[in-house]
Amino acid sequence: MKDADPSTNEREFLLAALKDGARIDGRKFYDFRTLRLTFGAEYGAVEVQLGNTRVLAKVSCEVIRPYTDKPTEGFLMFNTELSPMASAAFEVGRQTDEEVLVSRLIEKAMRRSRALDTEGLCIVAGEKVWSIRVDIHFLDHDGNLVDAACIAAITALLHFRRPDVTVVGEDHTLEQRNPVPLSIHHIPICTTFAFFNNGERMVVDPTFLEEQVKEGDMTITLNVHKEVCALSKAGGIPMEIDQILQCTKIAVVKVAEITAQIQAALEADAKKR
Amino acid sequence: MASITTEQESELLIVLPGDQLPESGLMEDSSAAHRLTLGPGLAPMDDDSITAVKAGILKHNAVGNRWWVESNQRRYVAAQGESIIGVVTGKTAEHYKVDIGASQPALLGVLAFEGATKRNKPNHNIGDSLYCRVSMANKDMEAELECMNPTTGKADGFGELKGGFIIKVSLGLARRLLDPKNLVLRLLGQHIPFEMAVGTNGKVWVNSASAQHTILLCNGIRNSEYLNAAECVAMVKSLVEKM
Amino acid sequence: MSRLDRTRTSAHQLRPFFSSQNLLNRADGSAQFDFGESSVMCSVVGPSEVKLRDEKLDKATIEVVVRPLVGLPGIKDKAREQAIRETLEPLVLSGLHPRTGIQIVVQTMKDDGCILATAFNATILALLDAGIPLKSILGAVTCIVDNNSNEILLDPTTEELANAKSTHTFVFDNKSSITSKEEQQESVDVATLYSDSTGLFSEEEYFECAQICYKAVQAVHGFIRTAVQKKLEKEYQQIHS
Repeated sequence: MKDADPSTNEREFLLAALKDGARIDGRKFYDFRTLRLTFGAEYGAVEVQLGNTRVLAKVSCEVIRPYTDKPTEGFLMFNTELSPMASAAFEVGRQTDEEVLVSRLIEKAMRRSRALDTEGLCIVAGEKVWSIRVDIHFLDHDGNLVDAACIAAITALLHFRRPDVTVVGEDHTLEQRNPVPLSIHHIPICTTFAFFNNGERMVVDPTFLEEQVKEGDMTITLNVHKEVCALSKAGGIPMEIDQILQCTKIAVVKVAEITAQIQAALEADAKKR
Repeated sequence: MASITTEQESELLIVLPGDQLPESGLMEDSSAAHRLTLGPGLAPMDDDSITAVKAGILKHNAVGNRWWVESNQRRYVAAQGESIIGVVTGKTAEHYKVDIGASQPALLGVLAFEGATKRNKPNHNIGDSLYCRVSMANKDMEAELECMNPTTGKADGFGELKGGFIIKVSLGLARRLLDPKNLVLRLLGQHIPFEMAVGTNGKVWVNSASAQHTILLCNGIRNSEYLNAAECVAMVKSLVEKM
Repeated sequence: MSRLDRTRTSAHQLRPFFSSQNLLNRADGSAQFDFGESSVMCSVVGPSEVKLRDEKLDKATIEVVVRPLVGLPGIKDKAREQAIRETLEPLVLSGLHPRTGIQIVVQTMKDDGCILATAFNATILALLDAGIPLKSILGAVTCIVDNNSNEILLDPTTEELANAKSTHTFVFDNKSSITSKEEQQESVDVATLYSDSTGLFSEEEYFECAQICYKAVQAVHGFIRTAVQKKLEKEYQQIHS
């Protein structure tokens, strides 16, 4: 079932309001919606709410054999199948373009930016390595799935603890010792922009309606050290180079805010345990 | 199962699917002792009992011995005579296809407007929002709409909604907004002049002099759903102050 | 006897319930139901458009999608989809909405055993929230026969499930409570909607499990009623205040 297109009234009102300097939900142009992070009793599970968008990330691990050409490297895998729970427009077993884009973006932001130290996942070189799996479940779709999924994935990885192992000869045993955290190099955070009115107006963290009306979008992935991890502009209207730089500057501020919030949430959770 | 007794009627009487209405309670306060009118949320079962099929509040009206369950949901099921807001999604020579939020698009005859003739009829485009009346609804067929009062043939406010913004609310909230005594609308109206159309399909059209005002009104209406009277007053006050 | 999860003191004690309805904004109805550290979210969309090949002329088509917490949906999830769909089909008054579809998506949020029972309870709450017409509501619980003590443990955790000789999941509707008002009534087969048992067990054990689960389900029904009541009171407080 395809999503219904917004009515002319909604479309024109949204554009007129943006021209007037207002967004439908009362936010400023460069504001994220309220971000809420909820942890479960288990390590490595986090539910992220970005306004009405809801994502659950769950990290799990298992011991597997590494590739022969990379004997010391562990695995990091993402499962980002879009669930029909988030929107009836997502069908089971049929990948939409949106799903491919979301998966690729998360893959680029997290795995290709080498946020996780995969070498540190080696148990016995060429024999046994950890494979870390991140399942991302989209529960409610009110726009900007990418940013929400990215926050959920990295927070879950930071929260996760894997069992400690001891190697005796060729064998390894799972120890009763305290589980250990993953070694994470940096925290990549995505910031998505949507463009309107021939690119004259741009907003951060678009809602579903804004996504339906937008003329183009761009996602910048940065970490708190102001390093660009990924930048994706898949089509849409052409943009000035200056504007991309401006977006990056805005993203730097947003990334610092979100990183601080993630760390505060992790600390608060650690205190409770 | 909680057996339903009529003594409890003064307070909210909540029923769940499967709760049976006692026969004595149904007949008692009716003058025409054997007549009974069942409204939404109640159905006769195979064993001749009257059972609730939705979760909600059991309501009773002594006139005509009517019983129904007042429940809330978000998905619209078309019912004859209701006023709704739809969006034109398609057009043929004889009909507009209108999305009303139900399982299937409804049909609106191109001549079902005030004073429309074959030569002179309003023209609507895909994406236009219309305030219409459900002229026929049946579970086996697409619903049919009209943009006029069937008795007078006059528009009576039905027709295209120009400008403004449309929000989606629960059907229960939409029904409450239709109450002339509705608190949140009165409170908002004290600060901002506005016009609105409420569709029983949960779509609410709001228009005012400026975009900022319309946004505030929409947020106020949406926020009011789970608030009591005092909270409503405080909510509207804080919205107006922020402006 | 103290249970493995240490928060419960009795073998016939359920973990604390939690539920919340109307959580998701895109679905027509949604609910979350928890048995302790097991949690399931369910969304319902419908009655809505249905694909032509799934269309039924005289009733609504019910589709159930079960999504696991970890990994891709497998055989176990398909089996659960079928269990939930076939249990719901006689319960939903699908004849009222012919040629439409009702899509139910079940997502495990936290897994500490008894996911199927938790899913059943989340599903019924989501259906109530969506206003889908139902003949009655249902309630589900799981119990096990412990391998060492031969004792029946209600609502087991993952740890307890590992030591189960047999596992039994029961679903009862709330009409059943009328027919068996006499507590002494031994047979509980009158209104069982779903029963699933695995492992080795005797006939006696099975009926004892059914009896214990039946009693426990009354608590679940009561909880569902209270949850719905609280939600409705909140919705209507403006009118009645």
